[in-house]
Amino acid sequence: MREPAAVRWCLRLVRAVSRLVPGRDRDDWRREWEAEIRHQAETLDARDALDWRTQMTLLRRTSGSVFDAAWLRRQFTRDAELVQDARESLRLLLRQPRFAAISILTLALGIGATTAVFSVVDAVLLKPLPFAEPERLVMLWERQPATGRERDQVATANLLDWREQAQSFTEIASYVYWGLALTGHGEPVELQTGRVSPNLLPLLGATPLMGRGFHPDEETAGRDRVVLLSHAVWQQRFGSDPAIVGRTILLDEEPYEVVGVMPDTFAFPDPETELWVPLSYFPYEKTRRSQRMFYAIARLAPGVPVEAAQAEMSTIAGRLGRAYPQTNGGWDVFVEPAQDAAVRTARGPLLVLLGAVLLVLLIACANVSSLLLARGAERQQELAIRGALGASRGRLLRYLLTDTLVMALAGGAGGLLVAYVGIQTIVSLDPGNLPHWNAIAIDGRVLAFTILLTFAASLLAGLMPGFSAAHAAPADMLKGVRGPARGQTAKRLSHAVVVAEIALSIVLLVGAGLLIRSFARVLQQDPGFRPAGLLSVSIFLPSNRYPDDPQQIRFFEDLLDRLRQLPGVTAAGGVTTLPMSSVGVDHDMPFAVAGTASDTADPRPEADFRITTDDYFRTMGVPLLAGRTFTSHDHAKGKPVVIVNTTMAERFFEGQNPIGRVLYWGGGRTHPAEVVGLVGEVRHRGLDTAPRPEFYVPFRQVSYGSLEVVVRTAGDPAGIAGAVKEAVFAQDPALPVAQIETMDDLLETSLAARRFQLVLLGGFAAIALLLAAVGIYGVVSFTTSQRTQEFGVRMALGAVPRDVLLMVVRDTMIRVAIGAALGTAAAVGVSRLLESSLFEVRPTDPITIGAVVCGLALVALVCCLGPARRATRVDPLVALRAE
Amino acid sequence: MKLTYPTSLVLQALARGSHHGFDIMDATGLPSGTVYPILRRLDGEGLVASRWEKQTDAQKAQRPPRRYYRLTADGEAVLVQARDRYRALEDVRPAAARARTS
Repeated sequence: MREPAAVRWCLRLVRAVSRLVPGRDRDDWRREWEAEIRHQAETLDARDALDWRTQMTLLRRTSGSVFDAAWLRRQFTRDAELVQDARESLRLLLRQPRFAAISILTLALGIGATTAVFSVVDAVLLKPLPFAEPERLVMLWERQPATGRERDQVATANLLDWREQAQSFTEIASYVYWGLALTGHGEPVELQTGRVSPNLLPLLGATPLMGRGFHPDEETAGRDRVVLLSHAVWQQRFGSDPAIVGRTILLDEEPYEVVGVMPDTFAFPDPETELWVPLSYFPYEKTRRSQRMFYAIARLAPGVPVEAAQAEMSTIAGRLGRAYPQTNGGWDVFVEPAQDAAVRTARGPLLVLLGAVLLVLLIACANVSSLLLARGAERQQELAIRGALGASRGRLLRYLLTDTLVMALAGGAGGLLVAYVGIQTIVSLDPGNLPHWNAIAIDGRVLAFTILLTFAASLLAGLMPGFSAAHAAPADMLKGVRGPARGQTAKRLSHAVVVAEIALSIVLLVGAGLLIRSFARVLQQDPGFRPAGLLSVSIFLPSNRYPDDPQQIRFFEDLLDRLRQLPGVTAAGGVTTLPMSSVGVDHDMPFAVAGTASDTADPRPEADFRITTDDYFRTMGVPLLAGRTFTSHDHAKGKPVVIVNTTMAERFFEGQNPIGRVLYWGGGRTHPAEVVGLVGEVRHRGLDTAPRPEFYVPFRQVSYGSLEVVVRTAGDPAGIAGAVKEAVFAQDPALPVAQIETMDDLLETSLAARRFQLVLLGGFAAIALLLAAVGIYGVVSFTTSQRTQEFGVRMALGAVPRDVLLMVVRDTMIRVAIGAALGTAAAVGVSRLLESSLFEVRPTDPITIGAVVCGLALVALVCCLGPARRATRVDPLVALRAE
Repeated sequence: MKLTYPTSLVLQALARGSHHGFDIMDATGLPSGTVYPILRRLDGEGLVASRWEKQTDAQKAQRPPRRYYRLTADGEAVLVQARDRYRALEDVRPAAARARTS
């Protein structure tokens, strides 16, 4: 059918108008209009209604396509302006490479450092735990409010009662950190093991990569000789053997059947766990209510809030307290969301770091802001021309902001590089405090954050200079007049930037300063022993080959004799737990001193308790202050003896000489022992933790199958590690040797958490100081150059260069003083957040604050001297002629 | 976004079953130079989504495929506000009852 003339005209019109439509939309636009015209014409034709009136209506309707096309064109032009502005900004940046480099580098540092810290915060604090429905997972702790114990582990009998009585949970699982020696695969090796109740994996929603999980009946002693391997152990120790499931391996010289391999993403209770075995209870363990050694994790029943579970568990705890007042009186249960428990120790320091790094970003933005203000002054004429040609203030502001955005985008890209390096640094510095449930890396979320940060930074840095430049009077600018109003505004803004930078830097520097002073104080503490020249090694005797005390005693006597024979070794001893060490067996032991108040106290006081060999104190360099140390006569058949430390002597012997007094330990009067020695106090739990009351018993009287053996050498202790290992193997070739470390390393590790926070906060403070210095220099240079004519006039009227120099310095130092005052006030408030990380230093420590203020003032002085000296070299004639 | 009376009319027409540019003009009485820019803006703001009619359907009717517009969930929410503001929107005729020609 031939189309009516009106339709043909309509189609022609659409074709012509389509040239207005931007190319990317043109085809679709034309198709849409043509389809509508044809559809309308055919509908009318089908009803015989296509007369001249309807054809005219169709033509009128089609003429509206002009407005449609014009609208699309206007939108396109607006978008194109952005591209044009961006291109222009790039050209400008390339013409001023020094300005561009400083601005981009500054932003890259700020954005990069913030991204790095955010990636850690995101992985550790924000992302949920990588288990099924993690919001329903809770940790169950025993707590005793009267003694301040908030999170004690759980005793077996209590745990079994909870499982039976509690309705708030679908499952309660328990676990404990353990170690098992793998033999028969090369050198014996101690593997970190999780002893876990069989319901743990279903509770977490985890399944093995190969094989199966544990069966419920494997919780029974005797049926528990099954093991799950971690992915890493399967790969490294068993060469990724695909037929590993069903094989038998020797752990602590007992045969265990491998029932499965866990995926490499599974890391519970922590990423170091290499094996999992069922947590089976011996019959006597099932009745124990006072030995709180198991961790408990539970899954809330659907719809049950934590508060309801807490209320129920408190009721159950109260009931158990009444039923077993001796062991459960005063004890409650604390239900803590697993996510909170996992990040508890990391949250505070991480949030402080995030705050610190945001301050660095603010300083970086302030810096770029001040550079832009200075550049805005140089671009006055260009902006004036744009204004005169019809660009509105909004348009000029858009243009200037695009300028900042281009820089910020380059800074953001550089920031990703900085962030990558930053993340590696943070992870390598991590003392093990950061939970590694989720990998710390630049992923989609972090990338999105960086993009957001880049836009925020460009607005922060660009808005103030943009407004300042866009609102200047075009007529004055065109004439090249630095009008007083315009000059004053830019100058005032620049000064405000200096004040802000100084204030922000002071907050950071005071924080870092306080941490440095604390660290110095910690290092000054006497550990109570001489760490240099000491090497330690963990020895655990398997109970199947060393079941009795005499065998264990003989083993350690022989081993220590053997070690003493090694060249360079001057002494050797053993103890259940070394100072600064997380390895070993730690006890809070109840005790009473006969004839003192502690003898009738209920409950009895508790002290740290360690089992040692004869030569331990001499080997460690712990001073003997009175009496004697243990000898070979202090054996099982001899008179029970103990040695106490000075803290214990001062606190529990009521001012009397402890030597010769009787001490009961372990509850009741079952273990009376004579105090035979007084030794110096040792900071066992870290240099920053005060020594606690402590007593030692001889290993011949209280034998123990696990000792930390320590040797003192005349030379480098690390050098004899091989010889020590050989000595152990010579004594028992099937014994794994774990944790060979020098005491200096142990001491160093104990300081790692403090060092982590110090290095990062110190690093941020150093960046802040550098940025502030660059910022001050830039602003003083700019404001001084703005005052060239003024200086010329002054010098023409008789001012000498010294006057000009002093004027510039005085002006700068006034801003610095204002910034310092504001910064000090803010620092005093903010540094309280660091209180828990400080040691023997108050958050308001006047020495730190004074030193920071003086140091910063000195840096500011040095920064302003250069521009000030340049101002003194102004030739009055040249300056006046320029006017 | 700026919720003008014509914009509200277009939203209402879409809700009442008019899904093509010319149908919306029929339903609202607005000229094409108003309706199309409104549709483009609504599309850009995510209040309206558009797709092309299937080639096979168009071939059956022996004409080129038409562009089909519909309200998104956000668009429906804005329409609720628009109805509160402009009571007269109820006068927009449903697609089935619309005039055959304008």
